[in-house]
Order: sequence, then C-alpha cells, then structure tokens
Amino acid sequence: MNRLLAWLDGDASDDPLPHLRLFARVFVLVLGAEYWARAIPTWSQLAPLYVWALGTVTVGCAATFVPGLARPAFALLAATHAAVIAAEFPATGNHAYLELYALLLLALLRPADPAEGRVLRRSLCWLVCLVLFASGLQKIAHGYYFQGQYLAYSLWIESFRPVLAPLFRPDEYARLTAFPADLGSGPFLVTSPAVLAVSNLVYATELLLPVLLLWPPTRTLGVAGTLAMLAGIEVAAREVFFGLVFANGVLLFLPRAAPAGVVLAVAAFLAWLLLGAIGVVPAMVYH
Amino acid sequence: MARWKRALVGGGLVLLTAWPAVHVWLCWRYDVSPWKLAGWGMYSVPRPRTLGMEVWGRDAATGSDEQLRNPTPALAAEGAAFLERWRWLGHLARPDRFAAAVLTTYPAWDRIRVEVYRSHLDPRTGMVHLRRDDRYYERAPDGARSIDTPGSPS
Repeated sequence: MNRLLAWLDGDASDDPLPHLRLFARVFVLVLGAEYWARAIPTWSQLAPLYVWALGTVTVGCAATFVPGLARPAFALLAATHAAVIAAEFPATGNHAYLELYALLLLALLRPADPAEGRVLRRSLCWLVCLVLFASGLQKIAHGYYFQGQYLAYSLWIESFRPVLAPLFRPDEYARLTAFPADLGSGPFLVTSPAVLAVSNLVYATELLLPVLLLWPPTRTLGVAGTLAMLAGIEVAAREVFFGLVFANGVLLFLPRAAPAGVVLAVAAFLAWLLLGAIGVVPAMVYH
Repeated sequence: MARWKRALVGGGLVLLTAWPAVHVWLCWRYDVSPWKLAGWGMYSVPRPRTLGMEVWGRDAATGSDEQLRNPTPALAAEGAAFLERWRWLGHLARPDRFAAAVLTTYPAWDRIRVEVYRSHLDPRTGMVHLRRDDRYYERAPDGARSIDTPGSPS
C-alpha cells in the first residue's frame, strides 16, 4: 500500500514537514471550534459526555501546539472523538470519521521523521482522494443525478434555491417549486439542459478530480478544481466544518506548503463564527 | 519507520478504501442511509421530509387491534431512539428493546406491530412516495420475540 501511495509524493526533495505543520494547526483549530460551535446553541442541555469531551478537546487542541506533547495530545483527541462518535452513532456526520482518521494518523506518525512524515502526508492525501471518489461512486450507485432528480428535489431547501434557480428554465423552476416536495409530489425529473449538465458533471467531477490529484503533472489543477468544487458546494450546503477539514487536506497536495497566513485566516473565520453563535457579531448560517 | 506502523497504516487504508463499496451494498441490501457510516454518500440521495412511526397491539382476550396513542415518556423516548436508528440503519435497526417495553407496559397485548415509514423519492419516476417497514413481535417469557409471519394485526 505504501509503495502505491508513493505516487502521491511530490518532488524527491519535497519536505513534507511544512505541509504537515500547517495541516495540523488548521486541523486542531477547526476541530476545537467545531466542538464549541455545537455546544453553544444547546449549552443548557449538553449531555455529560459532551461536556467532558468539550473540555478534553479544548485542552487537547491547545496541547498539540506544545513541542513534545503533540502526539499524546492527538491520541487523547482521537480517543475523545471516538467516544463522541460512538455515543452519537449512527447519526454521526461523515466528517467526524474523517477527523478521527486524521487524528489517529497524527497520533501514530511523527511528522518530523522523514519516513513517517512522508507516509503521514501520503495517507492524508489518499483519504482526500478516497472521499472524492467514493462520493462520485455513491451518486452513480443511487441514481439521483442522471436526470437531475436530486437538484430538483433540493429546491425546497432555501439555501439551494438562489444557487440552482439560474440553471432551470423558468417554467420548469415554477413547476418544481410549486410542489411541497412531500408525499405524492413529482415528478422531480428535469429537462433543463443546464441542470442536466451540472447534475451529471457533479459525479463526473468527483471521479475525475482524484485522478488529477494523483497524477503529478495535473496535481495543481486538481487542487484548484477541488477547492472550486468545494466552494460551490459550500455556497448551497454550508457544511462549514466538513469544508474546512477537507480543504485543509487538499492543500497537502500543493508542491509547496500554503503560506502560514492560512492559519490566521482560518482562525479569524472560526472566531467570527463562534462570536456569531453567542451574538457578538452577526451570526452565520451553517450546518 | 517501524514495520508495525507501516502495516497498521497500510492495513487501515486498505480497509477504508474497501469500505465505500461495502457501504453501497449495505444501502442497496438493507436500506442503510448513504448519508451516514463513513461511506461518503452525503448528498447522493435526498433526505426524507416525512418520518414517523405507529404501534399497534393485539388484545389477547378479544383479538382486536388497538393503536398505541399516548405512550409514557419512557416508551416515547425508546420509540424515538429506534426511529432514529431506523432512519440511518434501515433494516439493520431492530426495535427489540422498544417492543419489549411496549409489551411490558401493555400486559393485555400479546402481539404488536411496529410500523415505521418515511418519504422516499423514487429515482426512476421522480415521484415521492411512502416507504414503510413493519416489524412484528409477540410476547415471550423474556419480553418480546420477533416474528416473521404477520398474523392478525392489520
């Protein structure tokens, strides 16, 4: 497996440490903020396990910044996160599993060790490709994108309407938004060419992007394409934490580590999100 | 790098890589939701807008069916927990504990039917219809026993 994943390495001289340092910093910021973002709206009704997890994750995330404590802290975070996933099973969001895999890898492998650092970066990159490819595969397997069914049905969701409306012919948009999208409604089959094109492009892109990311000559194009697709998804779906975790993983493919300013930008964004949740600044709508 | 670490990471990645295919099979075979269980099937199927449950019991003395209408808080919580599991796990979710709790709370009943349902968008026709899953239980010495043959509750 490792020999296969060697394909994911950049230049031979490419040092994975700067990439991994940046990844770990952004990752713990997102993880810690996510726990608080979930806690704040339900502060008075938090389950005892979640209160314990919130405290542990907060301390654990801070400890990852202390030299020598990072790997034990990642192990603690992995154990805590696994306990929360188990408690919430089967309703656990998929991004929680992705976070758990990353935590386990960060607890197991030393980024500063050249061999382990390479395997760590390869493994995280492989997870990015896997999520993309499996998402495309699932869309084909369930068949809601060939005739635009999923996008048509999603028009009942307010945040999807402004994004999708320009793609529909006016008469078809009027027909589909007239349904209550519940029992007896339909047919949610689309004839608008732009919707059909976008709908089929979704899974095709998810299957193609891992190939672009895996092949060194097209890797940067793959990164740009994946981030663009992610931005498009976020506009409609607003899965902020999944988006940040995933985008952070995508940056590992770049030939050079992204600038350290990324950490500050993410920290500022998350601070805004949390301050919005407690009413200090205008709140963001996210899932 | 230690061999055991290499083996652990490699083995883990192989399993994670194979899992989505298994997950798709679970979705087809057991109606598991693509949205959960790390199969990366978010947004591949619409989330149901209607989700509900009804419980019917057969009176052992009269043979007539009655609907459970005002459950105790404990029973309602147990039922809601099953419904949530069924929503994501489909046929893999079993209401054994809930059925036992119902039969304990209603000693006059000898058999119950747990109906769970949700809206489903048919990808072929594009129409939204109701998908229903009925489970039957009868009283047993240790609480409730799942039965395949529906019997009289209707």
